[in-house]
Amino acid sequence: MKRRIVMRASSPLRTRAALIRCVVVVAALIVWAGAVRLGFVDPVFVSSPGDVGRALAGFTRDAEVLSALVVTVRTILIAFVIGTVAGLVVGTVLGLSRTLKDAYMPPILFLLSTPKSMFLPLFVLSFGITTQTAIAFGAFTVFFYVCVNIVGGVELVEAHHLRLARAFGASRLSTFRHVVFPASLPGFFAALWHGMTHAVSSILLAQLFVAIGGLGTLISVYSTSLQTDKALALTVVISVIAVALAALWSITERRLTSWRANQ
Amino acid sequence: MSAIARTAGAKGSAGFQYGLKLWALRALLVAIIAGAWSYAAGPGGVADILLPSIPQVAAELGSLVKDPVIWRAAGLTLGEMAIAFVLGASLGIVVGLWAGRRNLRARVTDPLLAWGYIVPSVVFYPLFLLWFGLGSSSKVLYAAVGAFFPIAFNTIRGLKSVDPKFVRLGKAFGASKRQLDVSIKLGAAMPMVLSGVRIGVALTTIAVILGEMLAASAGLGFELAKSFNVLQTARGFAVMVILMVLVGLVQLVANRALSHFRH
Amino acid sequence: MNGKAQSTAYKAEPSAQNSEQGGAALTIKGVGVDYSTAEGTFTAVERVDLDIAAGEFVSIIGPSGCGKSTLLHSIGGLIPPTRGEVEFRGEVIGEPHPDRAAFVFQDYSLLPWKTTLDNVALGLQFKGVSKGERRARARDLLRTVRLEAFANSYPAELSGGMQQRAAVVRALAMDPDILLLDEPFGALDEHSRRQLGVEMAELLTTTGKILILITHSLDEAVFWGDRVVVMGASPGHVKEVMEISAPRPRAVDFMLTDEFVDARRHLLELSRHDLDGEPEPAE
Repeated sequence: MKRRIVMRASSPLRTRAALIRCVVVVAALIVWAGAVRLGFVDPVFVSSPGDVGRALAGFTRDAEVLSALVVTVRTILIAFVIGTVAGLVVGTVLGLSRTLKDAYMPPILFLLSTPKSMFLPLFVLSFGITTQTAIAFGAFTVFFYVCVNIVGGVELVEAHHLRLARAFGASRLSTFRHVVFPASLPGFFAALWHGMTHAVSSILLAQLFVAIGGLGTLISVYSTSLQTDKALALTVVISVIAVALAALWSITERRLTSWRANQ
Repeated sequence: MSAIARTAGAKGSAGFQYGLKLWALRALLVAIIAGAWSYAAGPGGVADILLPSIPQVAAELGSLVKDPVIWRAAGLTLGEMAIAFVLGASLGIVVGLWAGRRNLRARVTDPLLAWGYIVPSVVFYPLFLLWFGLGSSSKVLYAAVGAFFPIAFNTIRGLKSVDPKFVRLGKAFGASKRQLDVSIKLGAAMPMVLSGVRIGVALTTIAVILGEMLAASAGLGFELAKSFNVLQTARGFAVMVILMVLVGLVQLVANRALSHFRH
Repeated sequence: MNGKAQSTAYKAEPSAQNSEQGGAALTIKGVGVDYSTAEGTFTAVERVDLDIAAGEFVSIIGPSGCGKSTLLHSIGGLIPPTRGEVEFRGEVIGEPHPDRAAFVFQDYSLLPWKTTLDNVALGLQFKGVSKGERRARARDLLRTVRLEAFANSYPAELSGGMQQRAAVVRALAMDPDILLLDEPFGALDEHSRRQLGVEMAELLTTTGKILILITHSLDEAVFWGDRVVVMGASPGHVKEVMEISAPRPRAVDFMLTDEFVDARRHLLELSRHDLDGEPEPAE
């Protein structure tokens, strides 16, 4: 009963909050535009909302930007697939063997927590100034996140479920199919999500670090050549894509979890 | 393959023997890597500037730790991390507390902070360079922003999810509004706040090292990138080792400090 | 330690009741509580009238959802009544006042991030008592329930019964006129429950305070109460008030007396009505 009160009452509050949020964003844009107009800040460095908007509109006809977008998306996907497959295989093996997990998880967790950018020069050294550098570095980064989340997912398989399966004489294969696999699904989805976000950021990082083309390189070129409006417009594009993907993911995830809860 | 069999087996073996097995497995992996490395650098015929031998790296490491240049660089890097973390964390906690106190404020700011956390922050670094120059301030501010978002976000989330029974308890025992905020809500939110701080520490180290590698004139990240750029590869490897130790130490200190807070 | 606690409980002093003072100290006048929901108004408590004398121990029992907890929260000022009012010595209770009415909640409600000592001192802290003084007082109180060794432990390191003893002395630390016990033993297992009950007997019933106990257990209600208030659900109302005349504090033997057994049987019959489903008033 009480729960229902809270949920119903919050609905108008949510719209009000969304409205205020819009006002805050618009106000920030106005302050920005005003500061440029009144000469408080130098438009060469901070551009202005109008210029960024025009740059955004210009992107739709800009072959350079569009091809960079295609390159970046393709690189991200390739790195994501390679890293995810590797992470899945290693993660499943580690997850199913207590000994291997105990032996290798601590070093993997340590590497996970170190800044991966440290290793980027090694990839440049091995693959040169090519897209392969970005792919290899991206796959390397994705691998760690997928691997750790898969291991975490397999850990969720409760011991008593395994005992139950054994008590009913399930074979190893059917134990995996009917017990281990479904129970580790949440970890699998988490692995995909973390893998994707780190694929995006590591590819952009590689493109920033080495001039191999793509959106990362383009942002670096725009900002060093003081085309601030274009640099900002690109960050807006990337941010909007990232936020939209995250929103899409959280809706999908909520669907999946509610389905689980309703079972 | 089978977790069942392994678990049962591990239970039977003595703890000491098991530990020995783990270290043997780790040693095996290290030996494989070292062997492949030695083969590639020696009989394999990979050039020194691409892959220096292990003794070369060790020798370089030995001379680096005696080199005041490296100590100054490490000092600078650590200093940047510390300042960035203090800036980002204090701002994050203040904003989180301010927004988390009122339901409407929390609803307005929560998604904004989540977006700031989701957006791949790498793409903003060129802009920080443009605005704050090559020196330390661009690294410090960039890393502070990185630490700010998860800490503010988690603080709000923590305050929003305080168990109502604690609030009821505080009211029943005569807490004023301020006492309720400080003694009850903040105390209950502390685990969430601390996990935000933990993420903040990790993001600070990542951002500072990344910033130094991408464009700087000093610091360990700069030394790392420079060594590889001028093909002093052995030195690059050695700096990498030093950086890993440094990151490990920072995490150790942070974890010790954070575990002092009881939840 | 067990035996010692029991022996103190057996040493039945002349009843500490003050009913001879006459007149009600705590008056519950036509109290009703409504919650407003999206579907409309939901009545948790329809109307309760009750006069409680100083030093009296009142047990309240009833099925889940009969509004007994809501009523207790209203008496303590946590939920303002929609209708009627609660008066203590002629003063209307409008908001929580731990000096007047202090709570012991069901799920211990010790703050997990504070030590046992600081948990007991919580109300004193909110009152602005200095750190040294409130800790000294909390330490004394912990001694009375033999928890002084756990002063610096955190609640997670204490057993359920120990946590609840700490919660009881936290309420006593406020030296309130009224103690409100919201199913204080509800989360304990049968054994700890009985043991704690025996231990608390002297502590609670010789204070001269008004005690109001919410419980699901018929045994508890009869064992403790000078009166047992039986509530019915949908919406919450008082079905019957039963006097238990045996003097307090009562020893365990009381559970073998005819009065106890009869009272218990009567309550059981009343509650069986609930199970059979009495004609429910339309909502």
